[in-house]
Amino acid sequence: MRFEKVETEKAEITTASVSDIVFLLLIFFMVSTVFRAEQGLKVELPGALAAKKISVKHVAHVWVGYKGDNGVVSIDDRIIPIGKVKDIMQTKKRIDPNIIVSIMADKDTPYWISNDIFGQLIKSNALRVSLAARRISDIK
Amino acid sequence: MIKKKSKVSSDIPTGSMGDIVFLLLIFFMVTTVFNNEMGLQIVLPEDSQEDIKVKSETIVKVRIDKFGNVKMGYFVGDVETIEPVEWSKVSDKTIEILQNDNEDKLIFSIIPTRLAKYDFMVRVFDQLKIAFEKTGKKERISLSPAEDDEE
Repeated sequence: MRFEKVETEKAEITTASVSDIVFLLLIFFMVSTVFRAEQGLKVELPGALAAKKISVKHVAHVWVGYKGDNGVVSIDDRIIPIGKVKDIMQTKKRIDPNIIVSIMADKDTPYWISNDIFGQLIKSNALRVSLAARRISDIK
Repeated sequence: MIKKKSKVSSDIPTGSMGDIVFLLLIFFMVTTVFNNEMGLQIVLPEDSQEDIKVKSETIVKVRIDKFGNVKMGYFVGDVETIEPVEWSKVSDKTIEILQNDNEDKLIFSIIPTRLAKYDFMVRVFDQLKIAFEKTGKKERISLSPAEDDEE
């Protein structure tokens, strides 16, 4: 007859669940960073070979899309009429004179909408503009 | 009989998993911060009451219509030539024009029609930028007000 030892207790803390905890952290950070950023509009940016990094410090985003024949403009997650861009940018320019306006426009937007926005920017004297684009390495 | 128990456990050690996932965490945080802002920079002209007069011979007009067809109009001597250019060839054509411009006074003006897609404008602008980069000349590109579409 054999006797078996049933209980084998160890005085260790299991470390297997650490990865789960850190995974949760990972997911939390990924989700929260997405939410903290300006949501803007859903746009598909055009691609450009010469796209360069711009300093994130002085950037103000202007999101440009379209709905039917009308332009949709969003600044600071608020949809605004194109005619108001001037006032908002004037205020932003006053706060940060080195402001760079990043135009996040959908690639299928008709040009006249962005043209109107350029006109507004000129009036508000915010002249440094960046046309946001994805960097591509080859043109099709 | 005494059985010798094998001491090698068949478990995969999970202790280092936490470290690995931590590395992943750091990797994701770093990449999301740095990858974001890319763009083509341009400085818009100042708002002035008087129009600045430029000789039309110094302007190269790059017209884009709503179908994405590109036409470049430039002066050779006194004669204006307008020729259709494939958009992907715009940079080659621009380099060619720039190399004939000894006085560095040519201004490239992008003139899309109202209904031209933003994408086309950016592509052409991109091509012009590349041409200026390649020739090492100072960038002189302007975005003109939209023209009406031809019906």
